[in-house]
Amino acid sequence: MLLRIFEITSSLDCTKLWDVIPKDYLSDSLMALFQRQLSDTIRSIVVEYPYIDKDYRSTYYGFYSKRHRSYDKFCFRLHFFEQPIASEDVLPEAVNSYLGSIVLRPTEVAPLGRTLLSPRAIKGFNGYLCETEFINSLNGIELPVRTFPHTMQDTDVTVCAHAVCWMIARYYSERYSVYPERLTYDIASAIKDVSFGRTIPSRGITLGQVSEILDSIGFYPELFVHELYMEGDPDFFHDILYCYVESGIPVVAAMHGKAHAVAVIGHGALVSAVDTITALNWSGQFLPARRCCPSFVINDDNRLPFSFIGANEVSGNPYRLSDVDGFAVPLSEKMYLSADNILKIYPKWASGGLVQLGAEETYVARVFMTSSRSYKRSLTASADMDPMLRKAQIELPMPKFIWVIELSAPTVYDRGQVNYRWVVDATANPYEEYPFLMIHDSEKMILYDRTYRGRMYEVEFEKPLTPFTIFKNNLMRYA
Amino acid sequence: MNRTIEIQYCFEKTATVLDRDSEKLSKYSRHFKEEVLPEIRDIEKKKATARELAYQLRVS
Repeated sequence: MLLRIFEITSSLDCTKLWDVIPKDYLSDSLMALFQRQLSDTIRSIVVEYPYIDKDYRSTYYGFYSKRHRSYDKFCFRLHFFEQPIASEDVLPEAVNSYLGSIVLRPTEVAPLGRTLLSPRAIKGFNGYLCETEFINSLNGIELPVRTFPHTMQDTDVTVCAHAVCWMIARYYSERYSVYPERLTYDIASAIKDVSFGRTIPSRGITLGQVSEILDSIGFYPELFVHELYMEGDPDFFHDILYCYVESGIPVVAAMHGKAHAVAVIGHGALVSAVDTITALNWSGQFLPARRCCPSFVINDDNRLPFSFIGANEVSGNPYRLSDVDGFAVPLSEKMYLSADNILKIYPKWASGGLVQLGAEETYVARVFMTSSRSYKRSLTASADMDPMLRKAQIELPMPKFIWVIELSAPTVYDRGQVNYRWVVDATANPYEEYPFLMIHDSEKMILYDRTYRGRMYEVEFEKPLTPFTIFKNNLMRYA
Repeated sequence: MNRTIEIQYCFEKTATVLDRDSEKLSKYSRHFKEEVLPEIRDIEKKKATARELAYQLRVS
């Protein structure tokens, strides 16, 4: 039921919540996070109690109810709005100003439970992230919010890596019906290899065990470890990470040195490619788009959602990109070809003479995966693409997932366009000579019907191609 | 059932079918063997090793 409505003028007013919520549920440290990170655009907080939270209940019945001391079965749930709410009667008119919810559990040490907060509820958020719609219900009123889920570890049943797996699992189960919902206790008890000792109470887990958890949910995880990429180009490891993030695939990043794990769920605001090339004194033919992206968006269970991690310290976050020792990518079954393969293969199509790039010294290369369904949907709305290039791709049979390589001259990239876009079969074998479905330059395209005819076609354009708009369906921009 | 349903893509009227033995693809094939395959072998080896190392990366 609706317990109380607080009108606030800044995040500092969150202390009013202590009028009705005990510190077991809202600790001093959590209050400090509220005051530091919640947006000052929040005007109302609605407090709901008793709230039955299925994730907390799963740990309650699996663990807390077995303790000698007693724990409350119920939680508080806070709902945030951008407009003042005088009484519950005006809630139906406030739906459009809804900024999401936070569940507070009676788990003292880390009481922040399931958090579904819009990035607009976080002070100064500016970036791109994976998100999907969740629908909360308050007094029978449906309140939609678009976000990526977040929670804190409870330190008894779950640790940070469990919390991150939960975030990813909940995002996918809400977005795609093929993935099952997994409650907090299900995640913690998914590890079957107990050679490291009992799993609950948890004493921490390894990246390998994270992979086991993701596998138990129905993913096909791929693992990358930084130390294997230290020879040659040490930034290559981060370029791989960027490809998956740009694909809209949330990643579990492990920081062994910091004994911590976070979810990487997007990236920060982009910087100019022209300026980046100058700053780096870059002379290579391809500049990975990651170099124009100084930070990644993370969900760190020690904080509220949507923090940043970069090469340098970002907004008070103690972690840096160099702290990431490895990461696990929760792939779908039919995503066989991995990002590192693609990053090595695509430059060779130009150097091997299949296509001839223009006179630019450097092209910005943005590499990502998407579904062919999403890609073809974007093609139907692509008004500035050559009609033959567009229609040929719409007609060409494609697998469920494809890799896309977008190449842009620096000035073209800075205005959100690409010169060339190549499409690759994500089910291809990495040792295949021709894994692409379509590559092109300004004069011609090569189309490979890999499934029906098994033929490769070369088609000349009627007139040289001009730049067209980048693909934007994977991540949502918030500024 | 063993029959072919005839279809025609929009681009086929103006397209040239590329023969695998053509000079262009043969040239790329050599380039692939020399420049791409060694790198892919190295990458695949790294991914196999990553599975072993992942059990040494402990997080809380």
